[in-house]
Amino acid sequence: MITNHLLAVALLYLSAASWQVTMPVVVYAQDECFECHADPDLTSEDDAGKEISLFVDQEEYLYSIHGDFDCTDCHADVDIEEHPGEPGEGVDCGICHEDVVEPHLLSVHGQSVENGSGDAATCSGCHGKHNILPASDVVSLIHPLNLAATCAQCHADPKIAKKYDISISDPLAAYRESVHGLAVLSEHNFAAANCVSCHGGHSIRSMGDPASPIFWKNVPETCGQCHQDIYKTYTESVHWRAAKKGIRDAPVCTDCHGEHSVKSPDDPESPVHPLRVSDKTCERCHASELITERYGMRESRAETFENSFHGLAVKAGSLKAANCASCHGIHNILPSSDPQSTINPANLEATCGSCHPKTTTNFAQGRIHLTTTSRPGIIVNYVRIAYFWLIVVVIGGMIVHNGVDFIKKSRQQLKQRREA
Amino acid sequence: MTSLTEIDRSQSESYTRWTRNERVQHWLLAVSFILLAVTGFALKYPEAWWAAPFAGLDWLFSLRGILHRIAGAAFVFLGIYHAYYMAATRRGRRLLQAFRPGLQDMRDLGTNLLYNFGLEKHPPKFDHFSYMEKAEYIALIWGGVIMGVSGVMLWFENVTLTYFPVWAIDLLTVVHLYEAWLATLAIVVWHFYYVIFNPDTYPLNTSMVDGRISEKEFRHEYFLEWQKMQQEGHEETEPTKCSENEPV
Repeated sequence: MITNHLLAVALLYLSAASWQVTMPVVVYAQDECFECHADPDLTSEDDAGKEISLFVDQEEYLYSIHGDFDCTDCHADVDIEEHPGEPGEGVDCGICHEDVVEPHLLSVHGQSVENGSGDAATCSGCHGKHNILPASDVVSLIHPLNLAATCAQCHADPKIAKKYDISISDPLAAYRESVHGLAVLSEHNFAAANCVSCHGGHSIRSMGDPASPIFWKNVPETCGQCHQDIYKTYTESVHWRAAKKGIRDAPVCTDCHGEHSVKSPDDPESPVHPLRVSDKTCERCHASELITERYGMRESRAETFENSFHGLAVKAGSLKAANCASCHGIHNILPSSDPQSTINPANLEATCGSCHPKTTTNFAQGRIHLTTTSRPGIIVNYVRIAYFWLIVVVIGGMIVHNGVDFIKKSRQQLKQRREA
Repeated sequence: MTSLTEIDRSQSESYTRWTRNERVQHWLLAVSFILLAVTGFALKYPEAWWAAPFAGLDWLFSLRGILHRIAGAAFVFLGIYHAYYMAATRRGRRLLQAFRPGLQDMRDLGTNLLYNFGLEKHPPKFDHFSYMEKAEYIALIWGGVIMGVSGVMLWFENVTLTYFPVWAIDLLTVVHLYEAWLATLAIVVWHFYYVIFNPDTYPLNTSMVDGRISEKEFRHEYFLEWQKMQQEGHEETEPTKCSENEPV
């Protein structure tokens, strides 16, 4: 690593030297600036009178993507005659990177800077200053390995979160443990999602902004950048049909999977793990009185499932027993009336048959979520009620019968003992 | 007419109430029943503390299912053997006769209740089985058949669903659960009272352990039979041997 670094520095020296030959006008060469700015103790005072370092790590600068630039290429406003005198206005990256200026200006960070925030990310906030490197370089602040930590400079700071009313104060903590974070940070799979993959880079916008890739209606498309097959399936599902129309109650990817914390369905902590998907995820809406009433859905789905063998087995930890997704599908959920639905009468034999190999038509055609208000459910419920009262009467009778027997015999024994 | 209770020559003060075969049947039933109850209720109440050994992990849940089926199979085979024992052996047929409920049992129930409420001077006198034992045996047979049939139908759900609609599974599940509750509560409230918590018996009726009943207890609990034995005893020189294992 170190030898690579030194080699790179050496190469940069060479290229810088050759450039000096080809560039006719060199206002101030690096070496002249570094005569003073290479001194780690070089300081000055800012407007508020606070001491600030004016040190620039030359080695780091030479390794940076701009290492073969002259200082005045960026610090164009430094008055050479007066230097050191009044400090310059600052560096305008837009001189070269003009395509980034507008997206950043319209971004949540740019808008914040416009509104006078001194905290919001400017170019150097994310890319660094003299250490700027392309995203492909592993030591770059925006390399996938480092990007989350770069964002976290502000986005893991509770003070910043409070000051700007940012709802998720430490997304990095969740991201690190997520399937994406683990893939990037532990497995070094840099194709996996990092902050920018979902939020965008220079043009990053607030989730409430319809132009943001994380605006709720844009979430499926954003995830679909990588998860193309799922995106295609999902966009044919009943959930997207509703979401597309603007029904916010209909789930998009993150409503079931989470965002920063998104985990593999095999992870027991995932909200879509077989043991959790039914009660932690589906039931959040399908057992919600508000939602089921609003859209005229049957609210008894959750309860009837929970009391069934499948529901009880899942509660007891069975990975084999059917959960909601086993029958209704995952991204392809459709109402039973749809011929493509896994629970369409024509497909039930195959759906039930995936666990019950000898599924017959008889098997496949019965009602699954038996309620106490419709036909076969009523009969079952009467049996339940009859049994309940049978137990109350029989066991109650036994308790009375044995209770009086116990009292009588105890009294007799006490009497006998007293007599003896 | 010889008695179902036999004089034990080695111990003049006690009689044999249960044969070894019957005691083995009883304890096999007890073990399978408890195992069935725990592994069965662990499915319905997986979050209960006592269900912890059978919940939370996929393999524990599978183990629960396997144990429940093993115990269920044992219960069913024991039931089949018991039916054979009661029908094909002389002693079994006589026990069955003794278990037969009659009007006298209703009268005994009435007398006992009146006695316990202080409205009757003497408690009822019983023959070989009291009405409490008869009721329990009949309930056991009834419950055993219901649990066995519903259990086997739920076990082989794919076969069941070949002949019945899906809601039959829901019905069987309800029946299996509520009958389980009825049976378990009956064992705790009825059986455990008479063999453990009954002040005359406490701490344990040991007749299912060694098969014996003492002279005193015999006379106290089953006076009518004891009385008959006293009258017959003089005529008998040899006690009747049990022939439970020989089909007749």
